[in-house]
Amino acid sequence: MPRVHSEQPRARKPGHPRQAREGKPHTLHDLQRLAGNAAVTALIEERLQVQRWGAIAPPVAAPAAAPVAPPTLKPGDTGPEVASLQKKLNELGAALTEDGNFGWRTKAAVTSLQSDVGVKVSGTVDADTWTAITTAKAGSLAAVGLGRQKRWKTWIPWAGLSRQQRQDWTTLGWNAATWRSKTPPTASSKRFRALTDAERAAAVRLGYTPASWDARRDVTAANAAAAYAEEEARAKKKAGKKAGKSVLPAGWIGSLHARSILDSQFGGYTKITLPKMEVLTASEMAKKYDGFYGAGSYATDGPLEGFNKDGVNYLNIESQSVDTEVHEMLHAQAHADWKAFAKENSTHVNEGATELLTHDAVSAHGFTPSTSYADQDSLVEAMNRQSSFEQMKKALFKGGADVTKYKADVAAGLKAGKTWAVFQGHYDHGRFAEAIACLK
Amino acid sequence: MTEDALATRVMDLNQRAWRLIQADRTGSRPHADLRREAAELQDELNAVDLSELSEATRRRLQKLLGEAKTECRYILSDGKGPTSLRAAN
Repeated sequence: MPRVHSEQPRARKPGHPRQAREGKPHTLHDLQRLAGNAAVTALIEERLQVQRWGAIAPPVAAPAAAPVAPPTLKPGDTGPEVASLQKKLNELGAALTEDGNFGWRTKAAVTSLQSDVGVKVSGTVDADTWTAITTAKAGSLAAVGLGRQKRWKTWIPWAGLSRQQRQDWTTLGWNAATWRSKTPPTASSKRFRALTDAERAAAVRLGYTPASWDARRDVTAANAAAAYAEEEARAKKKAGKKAGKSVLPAGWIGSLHARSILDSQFGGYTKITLPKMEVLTASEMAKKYDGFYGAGSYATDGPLEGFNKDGVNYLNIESQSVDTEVHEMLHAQAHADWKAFAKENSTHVNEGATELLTHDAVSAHGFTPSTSYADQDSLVEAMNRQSSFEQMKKALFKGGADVTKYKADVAAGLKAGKTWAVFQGHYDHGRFAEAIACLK
Repeated sequence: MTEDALATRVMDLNQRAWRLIQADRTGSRPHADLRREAAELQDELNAVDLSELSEATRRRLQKLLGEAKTECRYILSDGKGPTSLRAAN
C-alpha cells in the first residue's frame, strides 16, 4: 500500500443549471451527446491530472478545476508520485534510481536542491519545493552539495550574502536592518544547546561550532569557518603531494566541521566529543604502519582505509568520502550498551546504523552522502521498519532500556518460525537478503 | 572461484578475525590459542587474491581483508600495534 500523502481527487458535482451559461452543456450526458464518449473521457482524465499535479503539470485546456496542492512527499513515501519526483530530479542532474521509493538518496537530492535555491531545507517536498523543482534549470543539481564551504568575509552587506546565508541568518533572527546596524537578535543570546533544531543547523551551516557560538567569539563565524577552511586546505595540500592533485572529495568534511554537524543533529541525545583523527597520505599510512609492524607490513596488508593506535584514528586520505569523518566520529559517540548489542558477532548492525545516522546528519547540512555500506544500510532499514529510526537513534546514543526496546521490537518483527539466532546467523555471514527475509 | 564465492570467503575470514578480536578483548580464551589461530588466519588472508575482480568489488573486499589482517597482527603483537577502526571504535 503506497504511503504517499497526497490530495486525492474528489468527485465533483455536475454544475448547477442556474450557473450554466445559455446554450452551454452542463451535465456529463449533455457533453457525451455532443462530443462522444472518447472525448469526454479524455477531458476527465486531463482534469484529474490537473487535480493530482496542480502547478507542475503542463497547462491543460480543460474546464477550470479548483487548484489542488501538489502532493507533499517525504522520506519513506513510495509510489508513482515519488518516481515522477525522482525523474524530475534526475533531469536536474541527480543520479537516482527511479524506483518510487523515497529513500535517503532521494532525500539528499531534495535537501541539496532546497539548500541551493533557498527553500527551507527539510527533505520534504512541499509546495515551495515543487515550485523550485519545476523552475530549476537542467543540470543545476549537479553542483549542489559540493564546494559549499566558502571562505568567509569579515563583514559583507546583507545583499552580498548568498540566498542560503541570508536564510540562515534570518532563521537566527537577523534581518537586513539588524544586520546593517549589527544588532544581535534574541537567538544570539541563547546557548547553542538551547537553539531549535533549525537554528542549530543554520548556525553550523554558517560556520559556527557550539563553542564559538556560546563564546560569541565572532558574530560572523569567521573563526570557525576559517578553522574549517584551514583544516580542509591542510588535508588537500597533503593529498596533492601524493597525486599531484587533490584526491579528497569535493566538499570534504573535516573533523571540526563534522563535530559541529553532529552537535547540531544529535547534541540533544548525547554530548558530542571530538576523537583524535589524523588524515594520512598513502606513504604516511605505510610509514606509520610499518613503524609498528615492521617494513613491508603495509604492502602486505594494505591499502587500508584506516587503523587506530592509542586512541588516534588514522584515516587514509585516498579512501575518504565526503562523510568519512562524520561516520568515524559517530562511532566514538555510541553508547557501550549499543556496541555490545550491535557488535555482538559482527559489526554489520553497527555499521548500518552508523551509516544511516551519517546520511541523516550530512544531508541535513547540504552535503550528498556517499554509500559505503549499502547491504548493512538495507539490513538496518529493515530492522527499523519493525522498530523505528528514532528508537535506533536513542538506542545508539543512550543505551540501556532503549537498546532493550529496540532489540525487542526487531525480535517481535521476526516471521513465525524464525528465531533471533537464525536472523543474526544470516547477516553475520553476509547473507543480508536472507536476514531481511526473516523479518515481517 | 567466482566473485560471489570469493566475497563469501572474505566475509567469513573477516568474521573469524572479528571473533578473535572479541575473545582477545574479553579475555574469554587463552592468549596462546588466539595467537596460534591468528597466525593461521593471517596465512589464509594472505593467500586471498583479489586481482581478478572488478575495481568496485576489489575495493569493497580489500577493506574487509585489510581490517582482518590488521586484527591478526594486533593479536600477534600482544596488543602493542595498531588495530582496526572497527575494533577500536
